[in-house]
Formats: sequence, C-alpha cells, structure tokens
Amino acid sequence: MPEAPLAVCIIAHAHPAFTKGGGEMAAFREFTTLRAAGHRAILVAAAEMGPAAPGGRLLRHAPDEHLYDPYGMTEDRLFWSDLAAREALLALLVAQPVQVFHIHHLWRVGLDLVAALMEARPDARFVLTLHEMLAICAHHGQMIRTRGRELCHGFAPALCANCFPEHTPRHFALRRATWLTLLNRFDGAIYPSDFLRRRFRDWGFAAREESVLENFLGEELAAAPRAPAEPGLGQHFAFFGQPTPFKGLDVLIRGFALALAREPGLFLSVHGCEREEVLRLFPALEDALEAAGPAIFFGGRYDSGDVLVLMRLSGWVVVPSIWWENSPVVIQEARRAGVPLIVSDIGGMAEKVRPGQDGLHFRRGNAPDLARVLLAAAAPGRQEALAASQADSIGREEFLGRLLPALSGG
Amino acid sequence: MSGVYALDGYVDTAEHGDGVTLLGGWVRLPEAGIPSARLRLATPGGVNQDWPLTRLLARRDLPAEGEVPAGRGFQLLVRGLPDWTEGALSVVHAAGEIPLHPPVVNPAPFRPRGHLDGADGKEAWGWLVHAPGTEAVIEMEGMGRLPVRCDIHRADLPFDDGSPLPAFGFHLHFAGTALANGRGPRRVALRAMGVKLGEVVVEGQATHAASPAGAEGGGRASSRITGLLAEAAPAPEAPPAGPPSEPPKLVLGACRAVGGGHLLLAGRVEWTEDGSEPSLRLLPAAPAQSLVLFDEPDELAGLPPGRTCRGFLLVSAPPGGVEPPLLEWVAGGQAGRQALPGEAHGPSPDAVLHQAGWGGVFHLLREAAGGGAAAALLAPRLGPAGAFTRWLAGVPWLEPADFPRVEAWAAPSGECAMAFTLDPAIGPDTRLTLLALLPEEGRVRPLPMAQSPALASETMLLAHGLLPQLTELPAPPFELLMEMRHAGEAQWFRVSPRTLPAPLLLAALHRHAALPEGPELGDTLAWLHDLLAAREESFAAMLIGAPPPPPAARPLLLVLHGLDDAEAVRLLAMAAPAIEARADALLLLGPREFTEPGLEIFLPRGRIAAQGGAGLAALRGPLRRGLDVSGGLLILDMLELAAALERDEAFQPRLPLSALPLLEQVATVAGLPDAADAVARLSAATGTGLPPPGFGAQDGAAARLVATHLHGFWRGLAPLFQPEAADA
Repeated sequence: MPEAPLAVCIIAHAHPAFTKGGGEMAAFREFTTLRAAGHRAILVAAAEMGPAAPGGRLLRHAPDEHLYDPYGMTEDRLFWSDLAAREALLALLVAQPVQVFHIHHLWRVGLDLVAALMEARPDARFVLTLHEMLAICAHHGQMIRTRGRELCHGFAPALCANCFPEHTPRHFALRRATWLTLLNRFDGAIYPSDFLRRRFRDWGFAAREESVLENFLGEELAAAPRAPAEPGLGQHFAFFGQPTPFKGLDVLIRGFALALAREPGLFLSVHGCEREEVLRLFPALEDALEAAGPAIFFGGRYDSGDVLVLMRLSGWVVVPSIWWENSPVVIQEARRAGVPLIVSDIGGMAEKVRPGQDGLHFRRGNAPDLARVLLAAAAPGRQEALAASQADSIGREEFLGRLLPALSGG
Repeated sequence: MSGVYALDGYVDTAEHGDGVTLLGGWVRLPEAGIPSARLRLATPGGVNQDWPLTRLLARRDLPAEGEVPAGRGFQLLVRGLPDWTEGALSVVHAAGEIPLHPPVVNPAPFRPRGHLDGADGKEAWGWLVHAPGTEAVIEMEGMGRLPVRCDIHRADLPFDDGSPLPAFGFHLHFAGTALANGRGPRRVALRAMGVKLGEVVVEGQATHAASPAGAEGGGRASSRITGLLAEAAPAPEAPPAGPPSEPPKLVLGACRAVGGGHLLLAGRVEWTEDGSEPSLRLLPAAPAQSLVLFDEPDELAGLPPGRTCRGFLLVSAPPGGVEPPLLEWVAGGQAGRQALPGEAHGPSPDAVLHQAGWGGVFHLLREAAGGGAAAALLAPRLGPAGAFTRWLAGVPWLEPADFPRVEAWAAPSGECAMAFTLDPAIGPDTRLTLLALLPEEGRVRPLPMAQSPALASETMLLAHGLLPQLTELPAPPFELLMEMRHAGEAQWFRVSPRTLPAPLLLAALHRHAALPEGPELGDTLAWLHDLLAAREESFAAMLIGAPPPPPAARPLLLVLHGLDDAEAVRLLAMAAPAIEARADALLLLGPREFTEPGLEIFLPRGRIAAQGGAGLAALRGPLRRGLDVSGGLLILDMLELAAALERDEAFQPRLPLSALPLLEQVATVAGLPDAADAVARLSAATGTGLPPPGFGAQDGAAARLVATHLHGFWRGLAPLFQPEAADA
C-alpha cells in the first residue's frame, strides 16, 4: 500500500442506486472500500434523471458522489453528440483533486470525454477496468454471433460484417483502430478475469501495466462468515439471475428435466425471475416445466443482500450461460457462500470454477451433458466434498493490496 | 547505374523552309531519361529552343549493346522558327545533355513527305508532312484537284509536331465531285509543293453508287452539304484544254472588314460543270486565308443545264502591297479577277454567316477554331462567339428523337464520345465531325476536336475525340457542335453532352459497342486498342518531367483518405492530439458527411490548418492556402493512420507537396472525380499505400483493356516521385 492516501476519481457508467449491474456494483464497492481504507475517492456516475436536458445535467448525489445525465450521448453511448453536455462533465472531472482517474466501462462515459480528460489532465494517471468486451465486439461485447448463438472466438472484420451486414469489414477495422487509439493512451488496465485479459491481448491490446483483479463483493458480503455446507442438499440446485437469452436458463431447465426423469428426488430453485417470464422468453419450455411440476421452484426477484442466505438453501449453484461470462458475480457470491458450482465450460466461468475443486463443468449449451453432471453432482457425498475444497472470493485486504498499486502505478 | 558508357546521337535529317523545320535522327539515352528528353537547337543567330521528344521510337538497327542503351529515333516537325543556316543539336534529359553529331548542322531546304495509301471512287487516304500554306492536293486525273487537309492522327508514323496527337494523316471524301459521281478518271495522285508523292489507279469506281448532288437548306433534318474545306493554296493548275465553254461568273454578295484588318468575302461562283472545284484568293497574295465552299441549291436550280455553282466564304488577312486588292477566282479551267467593292459591301458579318450554307459556316468555324485566318471572325466585338454568334444560336440542340439512338458524353479530361444508331445503314460517306465550344469568361471558345477514326457496325457509329489544344486540366464542361454526314445528307446540331469521369466515358463507349447492333468484338477491341494508344500518347506529356528534390520534413501535410465511415471520424477524434504533434496541416478527403465532422474536431482546436473535400479541387486547397511547396506530403488511409501513430518514422513525408497539382491532372485523365480515390491511387503507385483501387467490375476484354490503360497512367506517375528510380 502506498505510504500516502491516494486520491482517485472513479468514473462509472451507472450508479447502483439506479441499476445493479456487475460493473456499477464493482465501481461503487471500490469507491466505498477505498474511502473506508482512508483514501480520497470520488465517484462520478451516469444516471438517467428525468427528462432530457440539452447542455447536460450534473447533480451532486452525496459527498464526493456526482451524477451526470448521459442523454447527450450518441445512440450507442460511446461518444457525446451534445458537446455542451460533454464540456460540462469534462469541467467537473478536470476539477477533481485526484491523482488517478479510474474508469469502469467506456460505454455511457464516452471515448471522446476520456480523450479530452487525458489532454486536460496530463498530470493524472488513467486506469481502466475492462469489465467486458465491447471494444472487441459490436454485439454488446458478448462475442456471440448475431445469427444463431455460436460463440465468436476472435475479432475478424469479415466475421463482424457477417454479423452486421449493414456494415463493411472496413467499418469494424476502423472501430478497432478507434478503440485501440484510446486504450493505448491509458497507463494501466485491470481485468476481472484472465480470460478477458487474453481476449484483449488476442485482439491486439497490451496495456503498459496490466493486472487481473477480481471484483470485490463489498464490505458487507466480505464480512459475512463462511458457513459450512448444510447437509442433505446435494440434490438441490439453484439458479440466480435474469432469464436473458444468454444466461442459459432454458438449457438448465431442459437438462434438469432430463435428470429428474432419471432421479425423481432432484429439486431446482430459480431466483431472479418468475415462471411466466421464463415462458415468455422460452415458450418451448412449457412441456419441460409441466413435466418437472413442483420440482422446479420460482423464487422471483431477490435482494442482493439476501443472496448468500438464498444460496445456502441449495447444494449447488448452476451458471449455465451460453456466452462467455467474463467474471460473473454469481460465481463470486457462491464461492463466498461456500456453495459449489456447476458451470458452462467456457470463458470466465471455466476460469473461476476449477473443476473438482470449486465445482463441476458441463458442455456449454448441452442439456444432456448438463443432466449427466447434475446426476453426478447428486451422488452422495459429492456436494460436501466440493464445498470443502472450494476457494473463497477475494477478501478486502487482498483486493486493496492489489488495487492500489494498479491505480498508483507503484 | 554502375559503369560508364558513351552516349551518342546523330542528326540524319535537318531541313528548313516554308516556315517549317524538320529535325530527325537518333539518340542513345538511358530509359530513365526518356520521359524528360527534349531536343535542343542552338544557332549562332540566337535561336536556343527546346522541344519535348514525346515520340522516341525504338530502332531495330540500334539495339542495346551491353550497358549501352538502345538508340531511339525521332522526327520532329517544328513550325515558326526564324530562318537558320547553321546550328547544333542536342538531347537534354533529367541527367544531362547529349550532343548530337555532326556538331554543326546546315539545314537543307524542306521537302514534303507523304504517301497516298489508297483511293477509290469516293475517298482517298494517306499521310503527308508538309508546310502549311503550301500546295498539298489530291489530283484527280483530268478532273481537278482537292486540297489535302491532314486531320487524322496515325500512331504508325514516326513524325511528331509536339502536339498530343500529331495529325499527319488524311482521309478525303469526294462528295459532290465528278469522281464521286462515277465519271472521274482512273488515276488519283498526291502532290505537295510540286512533288508527286504517290499515285493510285482507281479500279471499279464506276460501280460505286453515285451521290446525288443535294440541295443545302437551313432545316434541321433536311440540310445537306457537299462543301469541302480548302486550305490557302496557290491558284490550281488549269485543267487540260477542252472545248470552249461559257466563262465563269463571280457573284460577290458581301465584302466586310472583320477583326485584325481581315476581310470576309461571301458569294458564289458559277461555271460550266467540269467536275472541278473553284478556287479563290485575294491579290496581292495574303499570308493566310480561309476558304470554304458550299452548295447553293436555290441558285443551282435557276441555272441553265450544264452550268453549276458553289457558294463560298473567304476570310483573308490584309493583302500585302499598295495596290488595291483584287479577288481572283479559277473555275472550269478559266480564271477571272475583280476589284473589291470596299469593306462595307453587303450584309454584316454575322448576317453573312447566318445566310450562308450551314456546312460552309460549320467548316469556317472549324477553321477559326484551328487558328486559321477565319479566327478573325471570333473577334469579341462581334459577339460572344464573334460573327458566329447568330448562326450558332440558330443551330438546333440535339434531341433523342433526332436519331434512332444517340448518346453524347464529355469528360473533364477534354474528351468527348458519341454513340449513334443510324437508319439507313452506315455507308462509306458517313462521317461525324465534332467541334468543342468552351465557355470562357462570358465568351464561347471553339476548339477543334482531334477525332480518332470512328468505329462502325452496320448501323452503329461510335466516335471519340479530344481537345489537343487544351492546356489546363480539368477542362470546364463544354458543348459540342456536330456535323453528321450520312446517306447523302448532312445535319448540324449543338450537343450538351453528359459529363462523365474519363474512365466512365471509356466504359460507356465499349458498353455501347457491346449492344446487339454494335460491331464484332474483334473490331471493337482493335479499335479500342488504337484509341487507347492514341489517348496514352496524347496525355503522355503530362508525365514528362524531372524528378523533384526529396521533400523537406516540414511543413508536413497529412492527407487522410478513406474517411468514408462514421467510425473513421471517431478515429480522428481519438487521434487528434497525435496528429497535431506530427503534422503541420491536414487535408481530409471523403464525402462531406464525414469530412465536415472531421473538421469540426480540428478547426475549433486551431492547432494546425485543416481542410477537407471530396472532389479533385480539394487537392488545390493546401497550396492555395500558402503551404510551402518545398514541404512534404504523407498520404494515409484512415486504417493506416492508427498504425502510423505508433511509429514516428511512419510519419515522415513520402512525397513532395508539388505532387498535388499533377495528381489532379492524372486523376482527371485516368481516375475518378474523387480526391480520396486519387491519393489512394498515387499512394499505391508509389508503393507507400494499400493496393490500388480498381476501376469497377471487369466483365469483358474491353473493360480489362481500359482498366490496364488507366492503371498505366498511375504507374507512369510513380517514377516522377521516386528520385532513386530516376537516377538509376
């Protein structure tokens, strides 16, 4: 840790008071953790605050917490179209008495804003946490082909143009050049997973300083004691998250129905959505849900503060995403809860869950293989064994011990 | 090049007289010196003049010998040199000067050269190198003479006169003559300055269909002409004596002073028909005159049998001497003279032309455009198009319904093309003649088009012409004035051609040739091959010049092209500070929807000069704004920019700023009206950029031929900016 307290301005694309995505949660937790550790941390976050405000809208939300309205941005929220709004935000940022600007996401922040800030504050360090792959992939950074759900394994302008036929391969080559021209001006990059770091390296970006640092779950979850696994939950599986097309809930329900047919004692809890929501997105699941009957329980929305308790009511947390999942918070939470995981064998999931130690892998998108793994997991003693060997999430001291050098360059 | 070799050259022809000088010989010089080669004449009398040698032709008898380069021949015809009797010749090029042997040259009197390649009942064709204003005629045995006008460029001839398309070929139609009517003699000869240069025995001319002597009127569809343009020439020899006939009669309708002391005379000559054409001139002999003859159908109808008549328009420079001028005419083997009635006799000049036969006026305008004595009629005080203003206003505009199919195109390269489908079928008398009308400061400047031989099928006619006298590219949009002779008739139209870039004009030609009624593919390709060769030769002078010195490192103009996508503008925004740190000025090339946002990035910052544009005119901007021409130029595609920013050495100037004006010219001739396209091609040609853009889809041999031709200009541009290559 540096001898003197560090002054850091954290710029985030959103504020957890409004939305609770992984990126803004990570930014906010960094903000509170730095402050709690005696450093000066200032948070500047985007938030929609009422009707559009030409010229921009800035609001002091709390001490050292500022909100800005991203309405003046281009449709893709990567640049500013309202230059007055950008200048107002720039003036706020330039005036911050900090040594470091730590930016989480450039989406809803603006590449042009950051470039202007770098010109205006040549004295400051600039560090970027790359939570996702939007720089690499125009498909929301997910690196999944737009037509079908095939995984995309690497940037190629011709493939991008195949996903977006309205654009030429040259468009995507220029897009990459735009991103790289800015990214290369950062002093350092932080990746929440090594998977992400490798993807950016393969794409052509090697930061001057780079580190892989898992997101911190925050003081509250970090302080919770890690209880031993409840006995007898080996046949109880749980899903936490939204029923988006990429989270793989359909794969899980199909796989669970297959396993249930072989082993009637199995049980699945789905947290984060209702049965109707699932059927709206996946109407074809109706038969599988009917067949499973009461063996599948829909818990609906949950409070993030309850997540460890909810997880501990199950023997396994399943993360069946069909996309790469750069560094899922659910995995960190399950590790914090001490509940072993069953995950797709790709991306950040495969990296964060060591098979045979933290959980089990199944073939991504393959319901029969997931059924096989669910049955294997339900075998007596399996859950307890993995719960005992599973690693915990990153702790506060380790997080700060690695974050501060990354920010200060020390 | 390593080693030293003896460079040498010889003069084997030096002739001077009648206002022309012919200089021929050969020289051995390195390949790199060929583009910049010039012939230099220095005389004790103070002549010290250079002429570009654009037609240095390989000679089989002078092959390369080891490191000694092959000899190349030249035959240059120069006009307007003062008399000289002794001089020294040398060839100068970028790397030095080669004296030609012998060291002292004494010119012999000039003698004409030429050949009558062929003749039939309706036409005669061949080539001729002679002194303008001297006798040059086709003699029809026992039937009279026709003056020869050389207006066809022939790539097979070694002669050069410094013009883009030297015209030493001729192709004369005998329309309206007795020979054409099948009654003529069987021998046709080419004679110049009293020397017979060739003779052809015409066989089977009687089997050729006779062209009826048509009446010429002012109507757009029924106008016909059989008039022929005559150069200033001495009075023709009298034909062999025949039975006595009624003497010729001259009717002088007008005698008017026009610009520069010149006189315009108009009227008609009547004589007993003998198959000859009348001749007229002012006495004492004027240094230059323009004479055109045309039919007078109304007058002809009133003449007794056996008599004929021709209208004439004669423009003459002021006659020399102190005697009152006389008009001399020769017709039907008899001559007559008449005193002029003063300089204000008859209608005004514009009324004279308005009332004259259109064919005569058209060819008089063509003569005026070519700088002949008739140019006096273009005096500004007579109207925007001089005395032709009123006549031009009456010429109808070409409309689609005037022919079964008609298309007209013009390019900023000073080229035009026309495609016709004609009914009835095209015959040997079918001929299209074009004249360009250029707008110039509120006036109309007529310029003759150098026309390549037309390509014809049974019903389709494709023509191409260019403005050889054009000195600046791009040419402004211009109109055409056309004369179409077909099926015994002639029509005249003003044409507003559709403006196309030069590559598209060439594409339009070969795509029309590919239509079902077009010529056979083999004919098209052969024609296109010759056309492109002539075109290449025409514009070759553009690419002649010494390599410029290496560019200075500063000021550096960064030219960014490929600004064709919103992402490119975003890249500019990200790269702005880095660009400003490395370049002194910025030129953004691309569509306005992208260059304007690009300029929005740089102009408010105000750190470097920034301009943008899409058309070729954008290339002029930086120098007009005063950027030092000794500076350097770096051309980058937007995709190259990002990579270049990571390497300072990639930001070194690769070309001199002086490349920009020439680039605009080459793009006008062989590119699109798109500055980004032009710099991309230059960049590719000089080996510093991405591969060159193509010229669209190549769906056949003709398209490939055109693309290869166009790429050649860009390849030819490269050595001008590669001093190393030039030195080698």
